[in-house]
Amino acid sequence: MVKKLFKHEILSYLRVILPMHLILIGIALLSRFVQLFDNDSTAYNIVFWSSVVAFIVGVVVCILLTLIFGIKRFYSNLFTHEGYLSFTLPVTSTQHIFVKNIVAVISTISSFIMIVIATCFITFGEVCVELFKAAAYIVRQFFIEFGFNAPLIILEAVVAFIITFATTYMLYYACISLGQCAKKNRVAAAVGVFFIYYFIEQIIGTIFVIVVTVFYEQLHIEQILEYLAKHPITANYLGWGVVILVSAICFAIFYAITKHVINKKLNLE
Amino acid sequence: MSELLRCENLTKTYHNTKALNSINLTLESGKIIGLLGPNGSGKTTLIKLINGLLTPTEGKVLINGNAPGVKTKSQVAYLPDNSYLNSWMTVKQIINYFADFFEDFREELAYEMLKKLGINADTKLKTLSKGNKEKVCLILVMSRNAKLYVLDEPIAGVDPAARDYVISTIINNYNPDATVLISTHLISDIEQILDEAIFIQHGDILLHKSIDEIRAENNKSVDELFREVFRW
Repeated sequence: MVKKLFKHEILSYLRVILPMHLILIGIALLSRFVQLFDNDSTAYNIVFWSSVVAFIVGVVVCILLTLIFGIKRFYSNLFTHEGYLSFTLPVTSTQHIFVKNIVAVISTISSFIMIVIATCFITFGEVCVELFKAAAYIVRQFFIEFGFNAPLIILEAVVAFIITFATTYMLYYACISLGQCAKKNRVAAAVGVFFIYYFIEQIIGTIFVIVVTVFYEQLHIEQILEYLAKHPITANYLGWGVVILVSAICFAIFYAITKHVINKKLNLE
Repeated sequence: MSELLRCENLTKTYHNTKALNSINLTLESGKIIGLLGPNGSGKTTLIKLINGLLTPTEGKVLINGNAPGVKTKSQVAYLPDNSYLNSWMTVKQIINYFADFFEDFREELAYEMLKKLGINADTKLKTLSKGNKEKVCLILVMSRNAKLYVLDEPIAGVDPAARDYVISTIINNYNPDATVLISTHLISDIEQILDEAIFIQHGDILLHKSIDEIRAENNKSVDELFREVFRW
């Protein structure tokens, strides 16, 4: 059943995300085509800069639409009229939540990859070669600095990014789910829950900064920072490790909230 | 006849309002049962509990001995009282969707019923009329070889001609060993197909008897008795 859930979830994403990716690639190719007629005329400049602006808008729309669709898909497929079918399928709420989360993350990563590919298209030629040279230089320097630890640090960073994406979507799922507990105006309630969460997060962040500042000496912050500055490999492992750990804890909390609401408080309108 | 559905002291409360009041109910397999009551009587709440769309506040509901979950959902075919399909899908896509998730789905039967109605399978659901959309929903549900069919107000929003279609679709396509639970307040239209009737009001079961018993004991049709019991 999980395979079937994945299949239908991916199909529903492809319906929206694929055309958007194709449009972005199309804009990039069109802009590159315009550059073949490079000259100082006003007409060329207008067309060229229009295509560049269109590309930038395309990139922004691509990122926003991917995020919005990931959230909307969870809401509409589970909490609107579609929920009457989704929740009567012979699958568990855990399967629903994880499939939606994983496909949303895959869609986000694919959008970023597509933006990189589109950027390669629009800069195809000397600029693209220079960009690749710069990227290759950074990677080479990284490997020189960190040696055999470099691939492991990169892997840890990739895991951190993926889990951060997954946690971000899970946060929205938890807010939407808590919004469903309201009697009326459930979408507005979900937005309210998000702002309350954001407010609490800011308070916790502020308290953390205050504690670190007040107990700077007792916590040996200066020594810790000095040690990390002298040991960049440890600093990288530790930094990404903390990101993964905090994200994983938040993910587990948001997942538990979402699952609890779906299993115990579900009441479709 | 074996027991298919059992509700034990089933209670559901919404924000301090009791929708179901400790009901006890047993349904046997192989029957068509009318769940009859006025608007707001608790019919949809009971149906949602059977389908696992709500969690009981107290008590339990068992289908074939199991609480609502993955196992029961593969045995219960549910028609909600509103359109629940993804409007961007074509009829063919939604049939594939049902065929993928429900092992008891009879694809050929679904296409046969669509053909009789003259609905093109390549049509997008959002372009169908409200009536045809409701018929597609019914076809999808009745194409399943389920143990329990739960139909929530299947004839409420359709014209009298379409009601005949809905009723004949139910009679001609349900699995005879299964039970069909039909919730409605339009009793005269379905009375002729019912084996049993359940009267529900303010979350309480007022009556659960066979149609023959009701007629013999009261010398009235179910529709007449309903009008008498639920008179304002």
